[in-house]
Amino acid sequence: MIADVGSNWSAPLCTAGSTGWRPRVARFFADMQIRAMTERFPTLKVVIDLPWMTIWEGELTPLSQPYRLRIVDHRGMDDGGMKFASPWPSVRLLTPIARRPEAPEVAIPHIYGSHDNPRGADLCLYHPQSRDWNDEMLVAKSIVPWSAEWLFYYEMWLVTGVWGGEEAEHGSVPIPLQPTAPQRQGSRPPRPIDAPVMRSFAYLLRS
Amino acid sequence: MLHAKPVERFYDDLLADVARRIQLTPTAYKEAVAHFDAVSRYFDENESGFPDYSPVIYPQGSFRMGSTISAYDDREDYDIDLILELMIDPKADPDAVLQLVARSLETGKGRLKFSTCEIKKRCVTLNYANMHLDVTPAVLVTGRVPRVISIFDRHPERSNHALANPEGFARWFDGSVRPRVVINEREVRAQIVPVPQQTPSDVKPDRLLAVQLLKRFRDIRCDRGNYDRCPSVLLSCIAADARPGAGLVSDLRSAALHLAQVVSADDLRIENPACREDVLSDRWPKRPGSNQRFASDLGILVERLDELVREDGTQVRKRDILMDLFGENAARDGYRQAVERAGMQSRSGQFAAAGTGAVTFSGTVPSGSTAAPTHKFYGGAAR
Repeated sequence: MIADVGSNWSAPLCTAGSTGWRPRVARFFADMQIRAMTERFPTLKVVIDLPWMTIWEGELTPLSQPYRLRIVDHRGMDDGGMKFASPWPSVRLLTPIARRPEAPEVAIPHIYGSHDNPRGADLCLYHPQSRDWNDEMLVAKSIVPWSAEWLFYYEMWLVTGVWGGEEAEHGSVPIPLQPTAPQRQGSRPPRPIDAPVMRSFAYLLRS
Repeated sequence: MLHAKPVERFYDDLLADVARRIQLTPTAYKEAVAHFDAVSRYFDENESGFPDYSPVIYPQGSFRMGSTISAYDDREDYDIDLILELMIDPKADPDAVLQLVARSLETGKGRLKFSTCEIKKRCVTLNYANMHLDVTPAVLVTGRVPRVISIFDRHPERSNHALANPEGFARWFDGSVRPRVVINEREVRAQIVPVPQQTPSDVKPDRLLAVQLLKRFRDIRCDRGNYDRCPSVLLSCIAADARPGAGLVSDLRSAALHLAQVVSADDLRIENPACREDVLSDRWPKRPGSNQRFASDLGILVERLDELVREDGTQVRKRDILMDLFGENAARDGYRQAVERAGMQSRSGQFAAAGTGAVTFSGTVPSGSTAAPTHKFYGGAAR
C-alpha cells in the first residue's frame, strides 16, 4: 500500500496510487488499453504503466518513412487519493519534421506549437470540444489510426501542399494549449529531438 | 488485386492516377470523335465523289486500342489514324490514290474545318488547330482473315503496296489485355464503324495503362536522348506479350523488362499477329543503336519503379521519380488525386492502419487493420 505516491522512491511506479476502488478501476482500464494496443499495434511499446496514465513509444510507418511517437493516455491524476479526469490523450512526434521546401513560410497544419520543438511536435488529431473522441474509446482504435492518418496526410502535404483529411473550422474558438507548447511555429530547420520520457513528465514524481 | 503489403495498393493507385492524367482529356476526345464523324459522313455522301467506291472508314492504332496519350509538355497536339477502305484496284498507283483522296478532302474543306491537307507517304493528313487526322486509303484483301488490307505506299524505296491488318491487330491486342471484355463484333459491310468509347482509366486493365505509361516514358526519354521513337504499334505488340504482374506497378515493370529484352536484339523482327506479312518492326530503328538506347532506358525505368515501391525514401523523392519518368504535370496531378481519394476514404470511415501503421487503401478495411473513426483534424495554424 502506497498512500504517499511519489515521495516513496523505493516503490515501483506500477504500484503507485492510492488504495481503494479508484486505482483498481483505473488498472482495469489500463489493462484494457494495453491489451488492445499490443494486439493491434505491436510496434508501440509501453514505457510507463501507471493506474492513471499509460505511455507508449514506438514507430509507425504509414508509407515508407518511419516516425517515432509517444502516446500518453491520461485516465486521471494522483493527488494522494486518485481522481478520475478526462484530459485527452496526447501524441507527440519524436521524429523531426520540416516544412515544405517550396513554401517554407507555410506552417505545418494540425500541430500544437512549433514543428521544431526539440521536445517533439504534438499532433492535433481532433477538435477537443467535438464528439470525435471520448474517454470510452480505445486509444488503439482511435488515437493510433488517427496518428497514422496524420502522418500519411503530412507526407502528402509535403508533396502537394494540400491537407487531404477532414478539418474542423477554427472560427473564433481559441486553440487549446494542452498538452504543452508555445503557439508560434518557428521557421528554423528541424532540430534533433531530445525528449526523455521522465523529463517530459516530471510531475509524475512529486517532490 | 491482392497485394502482399498494404502500401503496394497505394502505389498502384498512384500510378493509375498518373496514367489517367496522360490520357486525352474528355474535351479533346470529343473533338477527335467529332472530326472523325465529319470525315466519315463526308466520304459517305455524293459531295465527296466516293460513294461509288463503297468506302468503309474506321479508326486504327492507339485511338482504336484506347491507348492514345497526350503530349508530355501539354501541347494540344495528338493524332488520330483512320483507315479508308475503298473498292478500287489494289494495284492502283499510290500517287493517284492519295491524290484522289486529298482532292476530295480539299473539296470538303469548308465543312470539315481543317486548316491544311498534306499528302504523306501512305496517308493524307488533315491538320486541325490542336490535332491531326491521318486518312490511309486501303483495299480489303479477299480470301484472308478479316480485315487484311492492302495499303498504298509512295515511298521510293519501298514496295508500292503493302499488306497490313490494323483492325486484326487491335482485336488481338484487345484479347491480350482485356480478356474479360466482350469485344463487339464489327459489321464488315457497315460503311461507318463507330469510334470506340474512351474507356475511363479506372476500369482499364493494368496492361493497357502500362502501355500508356510506356508510351509516355518513351516520348520523354527519346526526346531527352535524341533517338528515334519505337513505334506505338510495335511497343504495344511486345508489351502485350509480357508476363502479367500483380498490380499496375508490377505489371508495368514486367512489360518494361520484356520490352527491353526484345528490342535490344540485333535482328529485331516483330510481325503483326493478325497478318504475318505486316512487319511492325520494319521502320524502326531508323538510326542504328536507337533500339539499344531504348532498351537501356527501359532498364532505368525498371530500377526507378523498384525504388518507387521500396520501403524507404520520402514521398518527395518518389514524386520526383514519377516526374522524371512520366512528366511533371502527370506526377503532380497523380499525387493530388491520391490525396483526394484518401480524403474520401477518411470521410467514409474506410481509412485504416495496419499493425505497423501502414495505411491501407483497398476500399474496405482489411483484416488485421484498424479503421480510423471519422473525425476532423484541428489545431495548428489556420490556413
